[in-house]
Amino acid sequence: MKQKRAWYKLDNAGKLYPSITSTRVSTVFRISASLYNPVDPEILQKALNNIIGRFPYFKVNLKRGFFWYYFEYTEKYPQVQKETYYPCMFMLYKNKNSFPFRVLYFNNRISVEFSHSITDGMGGIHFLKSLLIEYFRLLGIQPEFQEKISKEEAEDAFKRYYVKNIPKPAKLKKAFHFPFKLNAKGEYYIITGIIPVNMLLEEAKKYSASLTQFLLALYFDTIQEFIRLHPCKLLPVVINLPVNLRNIFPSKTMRNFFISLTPQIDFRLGSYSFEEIINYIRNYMAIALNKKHISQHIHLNVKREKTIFIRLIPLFLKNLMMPALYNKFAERNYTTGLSNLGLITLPKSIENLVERFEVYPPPSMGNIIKVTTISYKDKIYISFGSLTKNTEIEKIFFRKIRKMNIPVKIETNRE
Amino acid sequence: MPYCPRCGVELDYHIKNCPLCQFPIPEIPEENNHINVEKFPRPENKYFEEILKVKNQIFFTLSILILSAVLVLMTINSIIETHPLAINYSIISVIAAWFYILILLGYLSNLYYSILGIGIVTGCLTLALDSVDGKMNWFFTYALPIIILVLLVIYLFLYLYNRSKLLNQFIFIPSYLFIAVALLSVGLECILDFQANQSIHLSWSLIVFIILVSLAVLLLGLYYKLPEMIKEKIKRKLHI
Repeated sequence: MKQKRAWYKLDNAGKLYPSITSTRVSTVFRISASLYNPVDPEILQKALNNIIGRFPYFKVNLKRGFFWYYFEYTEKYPQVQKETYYPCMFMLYKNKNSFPFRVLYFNNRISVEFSHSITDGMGGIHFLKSLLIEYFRLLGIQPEFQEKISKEEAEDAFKRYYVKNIPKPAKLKKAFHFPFKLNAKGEYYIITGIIPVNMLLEEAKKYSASLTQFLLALYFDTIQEFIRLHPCKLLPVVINLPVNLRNIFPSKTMRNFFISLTPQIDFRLGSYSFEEIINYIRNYMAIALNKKHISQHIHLNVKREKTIFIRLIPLFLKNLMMPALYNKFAERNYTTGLSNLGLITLPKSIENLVERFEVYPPPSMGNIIKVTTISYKDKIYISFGSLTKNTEIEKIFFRKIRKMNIPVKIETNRE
Repeated sequence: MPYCPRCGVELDYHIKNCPLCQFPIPEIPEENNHINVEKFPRPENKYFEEILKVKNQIFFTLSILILSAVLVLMTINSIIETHPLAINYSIISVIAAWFYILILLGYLSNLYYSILGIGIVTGCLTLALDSVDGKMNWFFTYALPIIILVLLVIYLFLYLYNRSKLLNQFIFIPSYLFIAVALLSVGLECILDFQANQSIHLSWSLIVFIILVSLAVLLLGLYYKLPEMIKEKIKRKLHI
C-alpha cells in the first residue's frame, strides 16, 4: 500500500509569497557564515543529509492545491551547490522535486537561501547554526550541547495568537520611493559594511537608543539627506521594520512569525535633526512594540486569510491578483526596509572557527533597496541589497557612520 | 589596507573603484600576512539562462506544430486542387504566425526592435496576402500606410510613457492612451477618406479626437494644476 505523505499548509505570512514570486522578486533571502578555512563540499553534503531529517517541515516540495499552495514531504535529499549566481536569485521551487531553499558554498563561505514562503530570518539562522554544528562535528569537533526538538516548530504561530473581534490597525498611504532606475534582470547588488558593534552601541547609548533604533534613525537621516541633495516629489518616508514575534508571543516555530512595523517621518513638514528623529523612533517603538498593537496586525493578517471569499478564489486567480494587491497593501506603502536579526551566538567549541555571519534581504521591485543587519562576536554586518546601480543611499549612510569616527570596511559583489 | 580617500572606508585589495562613490582606488600590494579570499564568485546571470531554456522549449514545440501545419496544407494542396488560393492564404498566415511567435517570445531583446519587427512581419504578411492572386489591390493604398501610422503612434506612446514612468501612472498612462487613440482615429480616417474620395474631410474621427484629447488634457490639468498666474486671474475675475 502506498504510504501517506505528510503535508503542511503554508503559514499565514508564507501563503502570500509563492503567488508574488517572479524572476525579479525572488522572495529569497540569504544567511551565510564564513569560516576560516575553505568549505569541504562533501562534508557539507553529509552534514546537510544528517540534519535535514531534524527539519521535516523544510524537507518538502511546493505543490499546487485548487485553492492554496501546500508543502508535501519528500523522500529526496537537497544537494549542496557551488555558488555561481548573484545572491538571492529566484528559485523555480514551484517545479517538481525542487526544494524551497538551497545550500551553497564558495571558498570559505556556507550560505543558505530560503524562500520566504517557508521560514523567516530566525528559522533560517537556526537551520544554518544546526548545519554548522553538524559540519564541524563531522570534522571531529563535538559541540557541548544537545538541542531538543519541540513540537511547536511546525506550528503556524499566527493562528495560535489570533484574537477575534478586535479592530484593525490604521491603513497606510503611498510612501516615498527612491527614483532610481532598475538594473538588468537577474542581477542583485550587495554592499556590506563591517563595523565594530561596540563603537556603534556606544554611539547609540549617547542618545539612549537601542542599536535597532539607532540604525533606523541613521537610515531616516540618510533618506532625509538624499531628499535634500536630490529634490523630488515628496511623500512620507516609511521604513518597513520586520519584528520577530517569538520573544513577544512565546513560540518555538521555525516557520514565519514576524510582522512589519512601519515607522514613518514626513519630511514635507521640514528638516528633522538627528535628535528629533531618534526621539520620534523611541516614542514610536514604545507605542507600537507591545502585545496589544501587534495583536491588531496579527488579527488583520489572519482575518484576511480566513475570509471565506478569499479562500474560495481558485489558486490561478489568486496568483493573478496577489502581485497587484501586495503592491497596493504592502510595498507601495513602504519606502524601504530595515531588518535587524540581532546577535548570533554559537557553541564555544566552534565559535572561533566561524569568522562571520551575513544576511542579505530578498530583492524587491517595490522597495529596490533594503537593509539587513546581523551581529557576530565584535562586529556588525550591515548589508544593503539593491536592484539598482545607484549607490547614493549606501554612500550617505556609511559616510555618516565614518563621520562619527567609527571605522567601516566595505565589501561588495559589484564589478 | 586600501582606503577610499573620499568616503574614508576600508576596502578590499585589488578593488578598482570605491563601491560607494566610484572613486578610483590605486592598486596597493598586499601585506605579507594577508590572505586574500574572494568573497563572491564572478556572478553569472541566471535570468537569461533559465528564461532562454523555457523560451527555447516553447519555440521548439510551436515550430514543430507550425511546420506540421504547413506540410499538411501543402499535401492537401497537392492532392485537392480545388481551392489553391485559400490554401495559399493559410500557408502564408501560418508562416507569419511563426515569425510573430519568434518576436513575441522576446528573442529581440529590445522592445523597440520587437515592435518594428512586428510591423515588418505584418507588412510582409499583408504584401504576400495581397499578391497571392497576382494583382496588387490594397497593400500600397491601405495596408502599408495604416501599418506605418500604427507604428508611429505606438512609438510616440512609448516615448511619452518612458518620460513619465516614475510619475503617477494612473494619470499618465490613460492620458497618453487617449492621445494615442485620438491620433490613430484621425490618421485612419485620413487614409480611408483619401483612398476613397481622393480628398480629406474629417467627420467621426474629429469627434473621437476632441473627446479623447479633452479627457487627456483634463486629467493632466488636474495633475499639474493650473499655473499660479492663471489661477490668480480667475480668482480676480470671478471672486464673489
